Amino acid sequence: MSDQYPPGSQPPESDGSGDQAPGYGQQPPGYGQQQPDYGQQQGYGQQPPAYGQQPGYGQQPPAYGQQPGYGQQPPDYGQQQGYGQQPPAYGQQQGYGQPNAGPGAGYASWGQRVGAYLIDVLIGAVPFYILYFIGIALATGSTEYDPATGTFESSGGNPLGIVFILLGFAVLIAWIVYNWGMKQGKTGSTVGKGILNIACVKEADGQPLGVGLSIGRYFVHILDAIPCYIGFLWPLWDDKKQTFADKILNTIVVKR
Amino acid sequence: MRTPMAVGAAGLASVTLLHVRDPHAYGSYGLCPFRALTGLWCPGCGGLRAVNDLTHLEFGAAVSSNVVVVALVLVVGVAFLWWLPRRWRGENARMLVLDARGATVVLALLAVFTIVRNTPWGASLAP
Repeated sequence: MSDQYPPGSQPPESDGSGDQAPGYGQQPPGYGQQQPDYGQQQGYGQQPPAYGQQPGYGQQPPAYGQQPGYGQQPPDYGQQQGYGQQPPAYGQQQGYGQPNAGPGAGYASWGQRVGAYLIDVLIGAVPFYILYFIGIALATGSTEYDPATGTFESSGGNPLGIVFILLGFAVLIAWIVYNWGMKQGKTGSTVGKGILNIACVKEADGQPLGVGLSIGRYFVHILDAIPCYIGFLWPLWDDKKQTFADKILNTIVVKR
Repeated sequence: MRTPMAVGAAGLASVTLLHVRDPHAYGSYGLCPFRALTGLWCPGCGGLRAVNDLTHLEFGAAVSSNVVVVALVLVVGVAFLWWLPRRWRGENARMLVLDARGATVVLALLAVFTIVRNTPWGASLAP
């Protein structure tokens, strides 16, 4: 049932309007440069990037001195007196310009998500099991037959074994917090998602989840597992390729 | 067309396996974890048996094993056949797509089915 392609209803590729998400239907108003009706809006993508510092702006024609910043405006802004004095919300635009903004390249396929997850789990599991089995081996006591006395000599396990086991769990927890919390929370991608060029972002604005929500999402995945793991399969036929956890937290996983 | 071919091959292989290796034998494909834990029928219980019955053209037995899986097989089969020409024309179409409303309907139906087949009145829906 799986398919590697975005839904037919969704524009498969960027329409060239920028690195934003074209066809990203859930965008709040004012989100993209593609909106034609920019009456009083500020911080437009068409403006030169250094627009923020209007006064004394280099390209500004000197004759326009009484209207600082006016020179850079597109002609249709003509009547808007004082437009130039508005501090453009440039930071906002910059935020949206980040490469993780929305499914510009489409939703991540189920296969990509599974692949990313396997990478993440392997990276966490290898050091955990090494430490865990060293710990088990150390902690397990041995009983040996002593032929000289005819008795069994019991040697207790090395208490260092417990330390190794606990260390294994500590490394595992640290990996989860780092990879799903900090890394995915701040950049949108775990290590595995980064390798496969996909990212988990908020559906509303295409931004990463933040550390807290991101690690919360890790545990909400339990709800995907409870009904016979059907939630993990749900991206196969979901129009936004979401798991139950994605739907509950309003997140999407996108290609980069 | 590689994706449809792979999906078709996987489907055919699964059905063949279920025909050859009979899921009516207890535990032949493992046990349902939900049933093992709770003693209740999960919405998928009887599904493999239903597919096996279908491969023997025993439709009544299939429906009484798991009517939802029989419906699912029909839906998936039709969706697959409808998917082939679209992919053949080069469209990036997906085989099955559920939007939010569809998802809600399907999950609600599954929930109702699960509850009913575990009551005395829904015994005919249990495997």
